[in-house]
Amino acid sequence: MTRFKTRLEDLVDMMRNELKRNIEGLRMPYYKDLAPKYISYSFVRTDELIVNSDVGSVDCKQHEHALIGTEVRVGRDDCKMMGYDYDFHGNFAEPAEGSLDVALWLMTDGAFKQAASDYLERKKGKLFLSSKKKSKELVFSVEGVHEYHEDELDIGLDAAEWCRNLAGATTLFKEHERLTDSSIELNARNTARYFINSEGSKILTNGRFYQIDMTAEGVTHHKNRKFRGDTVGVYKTMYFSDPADLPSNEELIGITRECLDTLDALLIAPVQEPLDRPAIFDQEFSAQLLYTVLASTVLNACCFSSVSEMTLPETGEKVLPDFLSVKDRPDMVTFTDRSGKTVHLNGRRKYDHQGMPCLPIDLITEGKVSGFPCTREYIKGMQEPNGHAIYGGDNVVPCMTNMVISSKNEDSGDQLVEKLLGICDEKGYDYGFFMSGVTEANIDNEENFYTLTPRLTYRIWAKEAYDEDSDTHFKRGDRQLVRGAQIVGNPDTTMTNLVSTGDDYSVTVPHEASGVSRFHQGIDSSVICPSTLVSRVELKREFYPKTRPPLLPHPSYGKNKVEDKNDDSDK
Amino acid sequence: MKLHNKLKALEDHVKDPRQRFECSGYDAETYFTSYLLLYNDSFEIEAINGAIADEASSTENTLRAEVRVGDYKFDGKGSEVTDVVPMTDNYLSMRNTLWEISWPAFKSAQEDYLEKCGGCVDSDQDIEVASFTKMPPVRYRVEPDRKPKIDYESWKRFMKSASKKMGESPDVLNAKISLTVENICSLYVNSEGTSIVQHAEHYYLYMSADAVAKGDGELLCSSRRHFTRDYSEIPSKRKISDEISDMIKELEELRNAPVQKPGSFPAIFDPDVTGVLFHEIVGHRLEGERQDSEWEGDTFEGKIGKKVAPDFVNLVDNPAKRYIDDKDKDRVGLMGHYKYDSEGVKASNVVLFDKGVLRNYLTSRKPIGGYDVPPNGHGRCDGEEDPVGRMSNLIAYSSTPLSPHDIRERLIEECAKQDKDYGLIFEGSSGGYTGTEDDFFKVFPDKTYRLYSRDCYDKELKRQFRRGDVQLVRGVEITGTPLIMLNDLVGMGDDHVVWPGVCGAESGWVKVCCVAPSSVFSNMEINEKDETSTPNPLPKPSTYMRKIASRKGDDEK
Repeated sequence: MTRFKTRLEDLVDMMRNELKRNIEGLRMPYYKDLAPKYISYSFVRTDELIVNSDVGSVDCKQHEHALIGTEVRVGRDDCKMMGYDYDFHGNFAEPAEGSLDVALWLMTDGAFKQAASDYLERKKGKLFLSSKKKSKELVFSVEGVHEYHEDELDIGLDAAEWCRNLAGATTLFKEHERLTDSSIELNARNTARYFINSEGSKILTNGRFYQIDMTAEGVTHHKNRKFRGDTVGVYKTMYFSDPADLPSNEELIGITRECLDTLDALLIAPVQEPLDRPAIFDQEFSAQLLYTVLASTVLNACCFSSVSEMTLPETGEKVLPDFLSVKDRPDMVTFTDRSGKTVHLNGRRKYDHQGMPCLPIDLITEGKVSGFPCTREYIKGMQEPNGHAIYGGDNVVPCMTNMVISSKNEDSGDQLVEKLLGICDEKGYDYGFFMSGVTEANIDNEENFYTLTPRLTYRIWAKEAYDEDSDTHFKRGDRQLVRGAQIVGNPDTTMTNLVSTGDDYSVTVPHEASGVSRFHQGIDSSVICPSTLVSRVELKREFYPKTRPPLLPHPSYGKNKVEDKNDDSDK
Repeated sequence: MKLHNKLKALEDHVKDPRQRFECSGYDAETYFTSYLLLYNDSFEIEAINGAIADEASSTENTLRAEVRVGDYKFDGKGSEVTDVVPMTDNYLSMRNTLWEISWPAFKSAQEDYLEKCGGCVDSDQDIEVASFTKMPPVRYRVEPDRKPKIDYESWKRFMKSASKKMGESPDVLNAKISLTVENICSLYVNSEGTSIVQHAEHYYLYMSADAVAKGDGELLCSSRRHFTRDYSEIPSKRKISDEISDMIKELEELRNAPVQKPGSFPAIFDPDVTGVLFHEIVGHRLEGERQDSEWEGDTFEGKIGKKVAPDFVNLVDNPAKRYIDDKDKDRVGLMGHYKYDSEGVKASNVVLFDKGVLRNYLTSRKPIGGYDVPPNGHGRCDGEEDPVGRMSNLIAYSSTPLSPHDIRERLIEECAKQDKDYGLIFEGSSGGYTGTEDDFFKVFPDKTYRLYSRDCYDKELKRQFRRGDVQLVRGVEITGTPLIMLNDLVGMGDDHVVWPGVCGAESGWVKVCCVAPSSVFSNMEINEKDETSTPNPLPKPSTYMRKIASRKGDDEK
C-alpha cells in the first residue's frame, strides 16, 4: 500500500506559518475590532481499502486522500459569545508545494468572515431572548499548550488475503436459490490527524476502523397478498478498531452461513401484527435503544450552535430508571466480556478534534443527569470542557466515545425470561418478544418518538398454544421467529417501562440514528451494555419494498429446496 | 341560488355518449365518469382589539371531474379540478366547463392506467384487488334549510366592543373575535345514473386572547369556539360577554401557573380531549385506504373480530346522525353530518368498536384488499382531492359508564398504585395530530390541572396540598403511541360532549365531530410544549392603547 510522502515536520511547518500570518494579519475593514481570537488547523490523511464481493467475484479499491480543516473564532476578549466557523477542504491526495498554503489562506479567510458574521448574529439574537434563556451564556474555554504525538500506523491488513477471504465466503451465495441480492463488503481505514492551534498546541493522533457489511436478500412467496413480494433481508454490519479483532476466514464463512440460514427462516416466518407487549432486548438492541434515547435527550441537547437553541436538561433531571448509570470512557482501550473475549473499543482516544485531552464523564448517575459531553464552547456553571469535540460537517459538535452502561438490577438470562413470562401471565398475553440486533434506528426529536427495527424478532410463548400462521404447537418458553415488527415509542415511556437488565455485558457499535441532527454519531464510538427487559413496548409493522420474484428459477433450482407452508410459488 | 340548468348540464354531460373520449392506440375505455360541484358562499367578520380588521364575503366554486378507464376490476383513475365555474345558472356555459375539464381527467386516467400496468411488472399487488366498487344509481334532492336572518351590522358593533373590552385587560396582548358563515351546496352526478343535491350551513364564532406568562415568557392563549350547523346554537351576546370575562380570568390564572415538568402520570381527559384523542389515535387508523397501504403502521389492519381496546369501549361513526343530546343541552347539531358522501354513497352508521372488539373500517368505494367490507358512505373529500375513507361523527361511549365522582376516584386510585402525589386533568383541546405511518400522536390540551391524590407538601411549588386539591399548571402537550394509550384506558364517564372541528388528511379538509365522555387513563406521557416565548414588550400594550386612544380619540366614541 502506498503512503503519503510528505514529512510530518514539513506539513506542520507549512500549517504553522500560515496560521501565524492569519492570526496576526486578518482584520475586517470598518470593523477593526473584529480580529480572530483563535485559529486551529487540522490535516487529516486517510488510507482506505474497499473490498466488495458477491458470488465469488471480488472488486478491490485502494486509495488515499486528505482534507484540511480550520476553526476560527471571533468575539469578546473574555471569550463569551464568540462567533465561529469550521470549514474544510477535501481531496488532497498529496499536498504539492505551495498548494497547502493557498488552500489554508482561502479557507481561513472564508471561515473568518463567516465567524465574524456569526458573532454579530449572536449579538443580535441575544437582545430578544426570554428571561429563562438569558441566564445561560456560552463561553469558549481558554486552554494551555498541549503536545502529543502518536506513532503513524499503516492500514494493518493484507488486501490480497481479504480479497481471497471474501471471495471464499460469498461463494456460498452461488448455491442459494432464494437470494435475489447479496454482497459482503470490507471497508478498512487508517486515519492520521495533525492538529495545531494559535495557542501553540500540536497533536498527532491515529485511528483505524474496519467495517464488514453483509447483505442477503430474498423475496417472500406468502399466500396473503399483503405479505407477498416483500423484499426481506439479513443485514449484518460489524465494526472493529483493531485488526486483531477481525474475524478469521473460518469465522467469516461461519457468519455467512448463519446469515443465509437466518434469511431462509425469515422468508417463511409469520408476519407479526402490531401489539403492545413485554420484550427482552439483546445487548445490541439495548445499546442502540439507550444510545438513541440518550442521543435525543441529554446528548442532542448539548449541541447548540447559538444561545437560543439551548434546551439543556438540568443536572439531576431523571432520564433513566434509578438502577442504570452511564459513563463515557475515552480512556478505556478494551473490554473483556464474560466469555473471556476481548474487544478493542472504537471510542478510545487521548485528544479530541479541538486538541483537548479526552476526559471520562459520569453522564447519568442512578438515572439522573450528572454530566454532559462538551466541546470547548460550554455553559459556565453547568459543565467544564471535557474533550468531546468532533468536527462533523461544518460544525464542531460534542460526541460520545465509549458509552458504558452499568446496572444495579441485573438478572441472568433465564431470570429475564422468567420475568417476561410472569408479565405475560399477569396480563393474560400468549407471548412476549425477544429482539436481537438492529438494522435501523430513527428518532424524531420534535415529535418525541423513535422507531427501531430489530434484525430478528422472536415470540417467547407464555402459554401452550397452536399458532395458525405457522401450523405449529408451542409450549411455554418456546421461541418462534417472526418478521415485520418495528418498535415505536416515546423515549420517556420506554425508559419508564425498563424493568431490569441482564448480566451479559458486551460491546456494540451503535448505528447512526436518523433524525439526530446535531449530535455526532459514528463508528468512532462503542457502547458497553447488557440485555434489558421492558414491561411493555409497542410494535408497528415494518415496511418492506415490494417486488416480483425472479420469473425463472435459480440456475441450480431443485438442489436446495426450502419448505414453506405459506408458499404458493409453485401453485 | 338557482341550480336547475347547472344540474341539468351535469346530468346531460355525464350521459352524453359523445363525451366518452377515445384515444387511438390505447385500449382502456372510459367506464365511469363523475362530477362534483361545490358552491361555498361565505361571509366573514374579524375584529381585533376594538376595530374591524377584516370583512369579506366570497363565493368559491369548485368543480371536480373524475374519469376512470378500464373496468371496475382494474382501472386507471384521473381527476381534474377547476375553480373557474360559471356563477350564473347557464346551461351551455356549464357544459363547456365540463367539457374543458373532462379531457385532462381522461388523459391522466390513461396515464394512471399505463403506470399501474407498468407497476404490475414488478409487483402483482394491484391485480388481485378490484379498483372500484359498482354502486346502484341514487337520486336525492333536498331543499336548503330556510336561511336565518343574520344582522351583521349588529354583530360588527358587538364584536368591536367585545374585542376592545378583551384587549383593554392589562395582560392581554391581542384580542380577536371572528364570525364566519358558510352556505355550501354540493351537486354530484355520475355515469351510473346517480344525481345528488345536498346543502349545509356552518356558523363559526371564535374568540381568542393572548398573554405572556410570568417568568419564562411563554406565549399563552385562551380561546372559545362555537362551531355549529344551526345559527340558533350560536350563543347569545350576553353569554359571549360572560365567556370573554372567563377567558380574561383564565389568562390571568395561566400567567401565574407553574410549568408542569414532562413525565408519565395517571390522567383524566375531559370529553373534549377524549374526543380529540379517539379521533387521532383510533379514527385515523380505521380509515379504509390505510389498511391497504404498505407505508402505514397497520395498527388495526387484519384485526376485525379481535379485541383491540378495553371491554367497555364502544365506538361508532355515524354521518347520518344530524343531532345528538349532550350533557349541556339537547339537540346539538353534528358537524360531520351528511346524507351521501363525496362518491354518492349513502351515509351509514358504522360500528367500529363493539365492547373493545374491532368490527369495521371506514370505507370509500375503493375496495380494501383481503376484506369483504362494502362502501359504507365515508368516502369524503374537500372537492379537490380524491375521496378516501374518512371520519364524520365519531361517537365513543362506555358499556359501563362512570360518574364524574368515580372518574376522579379512579385517578386517585391509580396515583396510589403508582405512588404518585398527583395525577393530571386535561380540559378542552384546540386539536391534535397523528402520524399513522410512524404511529405517534399529539393532543394539545387547553388547560392542565394537577389533582392531588394525598395530603403532601409539594417541594417544587413549596406548598402544602390536601387530597382532592387541584392546581392549574401549563406548558404541556400529550404524546404517545396508539396501542399503549388505548390499553391504558381504565374508565369512561357518562358526560358526553360534542366537539366539532375540521380534519385535514389526504383528501383535504372536511368537517368532523367527536362525541365522547370524560375518560381516565392509568398512564399518560406528557411533553414539554413547543415553547413560543417572548419577553414582555414595553410599554405594556394596554397602556399603549390607552395613550393612543387619548391622543387620537377612540373611534368608538
